Amino acid sequence: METSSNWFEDPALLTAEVKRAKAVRSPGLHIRGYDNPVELARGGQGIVYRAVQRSTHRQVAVKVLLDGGLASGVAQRRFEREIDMVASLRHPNIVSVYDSGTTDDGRLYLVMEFVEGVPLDKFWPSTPPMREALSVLATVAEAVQYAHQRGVIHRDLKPSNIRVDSAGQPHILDFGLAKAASREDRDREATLSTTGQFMGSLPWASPEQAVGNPDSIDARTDVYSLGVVLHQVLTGRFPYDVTGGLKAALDNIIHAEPTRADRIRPEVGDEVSTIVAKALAKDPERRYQSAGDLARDIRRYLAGEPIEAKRDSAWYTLRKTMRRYRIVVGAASVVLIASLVALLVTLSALGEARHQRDRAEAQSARALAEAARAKAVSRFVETMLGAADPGKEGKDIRVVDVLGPASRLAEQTLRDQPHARSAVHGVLSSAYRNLQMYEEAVREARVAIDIAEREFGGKGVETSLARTALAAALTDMGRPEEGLREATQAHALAVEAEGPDSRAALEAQMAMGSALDDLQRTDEALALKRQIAERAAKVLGPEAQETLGAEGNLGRTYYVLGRLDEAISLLESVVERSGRVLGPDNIATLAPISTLVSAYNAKGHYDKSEPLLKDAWERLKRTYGPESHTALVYANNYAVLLNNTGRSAEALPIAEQALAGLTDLHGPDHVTVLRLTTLIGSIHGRLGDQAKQLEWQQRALEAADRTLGRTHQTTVYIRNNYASTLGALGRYDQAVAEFRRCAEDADRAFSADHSMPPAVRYNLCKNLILAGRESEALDILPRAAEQLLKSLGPESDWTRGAIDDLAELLDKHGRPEDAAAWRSRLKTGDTPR
Amino acid sequence: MYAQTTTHGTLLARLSGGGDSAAWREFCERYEELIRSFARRRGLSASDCDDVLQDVMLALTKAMPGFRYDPAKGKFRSYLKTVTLHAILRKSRQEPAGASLSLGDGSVSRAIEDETEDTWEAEWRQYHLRTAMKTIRAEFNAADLEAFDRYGVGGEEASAVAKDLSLSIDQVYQAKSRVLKRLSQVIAKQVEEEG
Repeated sequence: METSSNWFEDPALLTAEVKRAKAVRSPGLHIRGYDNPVELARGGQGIVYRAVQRSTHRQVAVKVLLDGGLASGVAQRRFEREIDMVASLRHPNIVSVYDSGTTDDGRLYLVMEFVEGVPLDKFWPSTPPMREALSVLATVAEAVQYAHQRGVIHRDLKPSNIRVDSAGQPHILDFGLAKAASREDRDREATLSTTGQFMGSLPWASPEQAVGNPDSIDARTDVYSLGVVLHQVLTGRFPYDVTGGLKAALDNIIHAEPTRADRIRPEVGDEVSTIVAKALAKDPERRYQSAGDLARDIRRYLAGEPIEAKRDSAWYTLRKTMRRYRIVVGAASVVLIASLVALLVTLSALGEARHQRDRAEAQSARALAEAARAKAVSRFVETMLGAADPGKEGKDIRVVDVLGPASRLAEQTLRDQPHARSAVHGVLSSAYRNLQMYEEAVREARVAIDIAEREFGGKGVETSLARTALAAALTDMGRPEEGLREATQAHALAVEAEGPDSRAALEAQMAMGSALDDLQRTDEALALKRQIAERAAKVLGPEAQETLGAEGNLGRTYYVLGRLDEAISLLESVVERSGRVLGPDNIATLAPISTLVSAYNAKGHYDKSEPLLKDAWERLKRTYGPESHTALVYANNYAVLLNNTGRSAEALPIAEQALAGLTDLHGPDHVTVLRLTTLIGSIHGRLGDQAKQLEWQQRALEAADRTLGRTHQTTVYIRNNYASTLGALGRYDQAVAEFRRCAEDADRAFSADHSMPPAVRYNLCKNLILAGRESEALDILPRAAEQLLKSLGPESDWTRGAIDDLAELLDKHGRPEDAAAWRSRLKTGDTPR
Repeated sequence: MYAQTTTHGTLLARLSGGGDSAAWREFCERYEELIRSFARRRGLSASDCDDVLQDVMLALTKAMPGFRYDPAKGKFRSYLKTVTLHAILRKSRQEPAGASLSLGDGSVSRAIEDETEDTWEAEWRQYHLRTAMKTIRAEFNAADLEAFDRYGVGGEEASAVAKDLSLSIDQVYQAKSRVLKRLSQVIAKQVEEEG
């Protein structure tokens, strides 16, 4: 009997376990992982608490929603789907959503960043200074634009949802919540259907919301609300009377011409009044087409530049492409796929509407067709989700349960809508592809192609999109040649139908890029990525966020391929523009900085990388808090840099703090924790504390082998470090064996022109020389030196070391000419004779 | 004797028969929180945890039809752990672009504590406890449960608890030991069945 070894048979252990179970629920607010809730406010939507998140010790705001009608499975799934998208937003001017779920008593809650501040309309005691107010509102509009680009519309923008902190920075609250928390299972939007919120949000509602037509709500709805806020903040009044009865207020929103702002307050001026009036256009088509446009015009005014007229419509198309692409890449959970289907089907419906407009059909016919289509699409999505609902418990749906019925449903529900039908099959194809169910992905893509062949004669944008889906599936299932063929065809079709700057053409090019990557046709893949970046620059302008993103991507590809000079020159320019346009604290500016720092480091330009990295880290600490994941990762990177530049003593406390923080955040087995452990070891090594070094490294290596696999890049680094220590302890033959293994792994883990494989081989040669096996070293070192020269250039410490050692070895073996030829390459970088 | 309607063994047998969707639903309900909180403790975000859950369930859909139930070996538990761990690792590898380690820094490191086993075991204990508590709640009256909770777990004075609940002090002692003993029995049975 092993009675005493079972925890549940020992009353003390069992009681401790019960206590632990109890501890994860906090009193009052029954949400796991959050302590010390203090009620802050009660409102139409729910109760807001301040609490402490146990895992991070940070203060958070917890909003528990009133539970009217939200218990149903469909409503709950909608909530989760929406919140999932909102939670992916990371912007300094948007209050972050960290978590969401259901309390023990069945109410929905979200956990958000805790922001101290006052509502926008209370921030200025009297009439606000014009320029200051305009600047704050431009920042708000930029943040709204950021969310739109990620598929999230606010739907309830008003001063009480915009909090301004003591530094004058605005923070937007409750993004997407109006939709997420809408209580009806039918398609009505919350803003105007939920009684509690109805009156509170009415003055900022758009005409399309006032009409009660949820199908027509889009990004421009938020633009309108921003216009009302702008008008209100500048003049202290609403643009029309909303104080009367409900019907009168709705009437005014729909019909009343807004009073121009400069008529109420002359110093607002003609230009700003024009900006406000354009945001407040009743017809969405006549408004600013995006919050970004509104922000840019305000900024132009503030900079003394002329405000701009309407922009090219290609701009919109590309924006949608990029948005869709991002979502497809990340789609793995069923909620995401469901929203993706909804989004895409809607997009495709819009696309059809546009086609019809181009054909200049009669106005009424068009409106009717659009309404019918929107209805069919929404019915389809609902039926699809309903069909997959396992019972009525409101549990998560499994993806496989959704996709099969969806395919059949598309055939029935969308029978007379070939555009939408082929789009749905295309989406299903990529959903299957994300699940790595390639046979099914190919099957769905072929169905989409069949429809396109039959209905559109194998031409047009529909055929192109379907062939792109097939191409992506073929590439991912390991048939990149066929994938490339399909994608190339798809591209030609798209160019023919809508031109080279169209959404379909860009998607086809992205699929071509992945196929080329897999075929290891690196140069062509790069050329293509370059083309995508250039096209974005051409269509959207060099300072558009998408262009910066595409160029940042390209720069990262250069870096990953070891083409450091190109990476550096591109990224320097991206960082400069991004800092200017988006602001230095914007997270979008930090990604290219990180890659740029790595590229500088790889070239040994620590003088450039050090101040850049330190500044980025400081900004992140201020913006996201010192314990945020991103700040901790930058602390790690900064400690690495200090350690590499002989400032190990400074690096140690930074690295230790980062390790503690990341372990708290992610647990001990996370990859970043593994990296930091390695780093701290390295720091101790440099500080001369070598005790037990080898033993610990070996354990790190074993863990990496086990959890990441031998050919993971991190494992290769750790193995390299372990082998180095073996060498340092004089155990050269063991070191040689380990470095050989490491070099093989590096060949598989890194691309052929990356600097890591030759760096490992250079380490191998050093140990071969120390072991007295010089002729073996002479076989390997020239090629390694060649590759280091190519990937890192002649200035890198690695290249210099390798070439110096090689030349010395050649001298010693009676080949002084060869040695001299190599040495000369350190000066010129030319090919030796 | 026990309030649980479906035993773990029966459930596995139904699953290995394949195609029993009610069994799947029950299985998901049972293990969802275990998988989720294990993933959570290893640093994944809520939506990543959803993905992990999805991954695990997909893997099991494929594996279960041929799964051999062998109570002697404790196979299922370690199998589920392995599948979950793989799903988590796949997720954690999708690193943000910012996390880069500089090239070949040629020296030392300290060990990484591998707490995987501990974490899994802790979550597994909590899973059994939660499941058993459901049974217990159906078997005891509210006063006994509250007495157990406040005196046995919360460490309040027995006399104060007795007064609040209109029980004798002896009844409070008894409630504590009876609930604890029954809890131990229920968990023992669950563990035995689990294999």
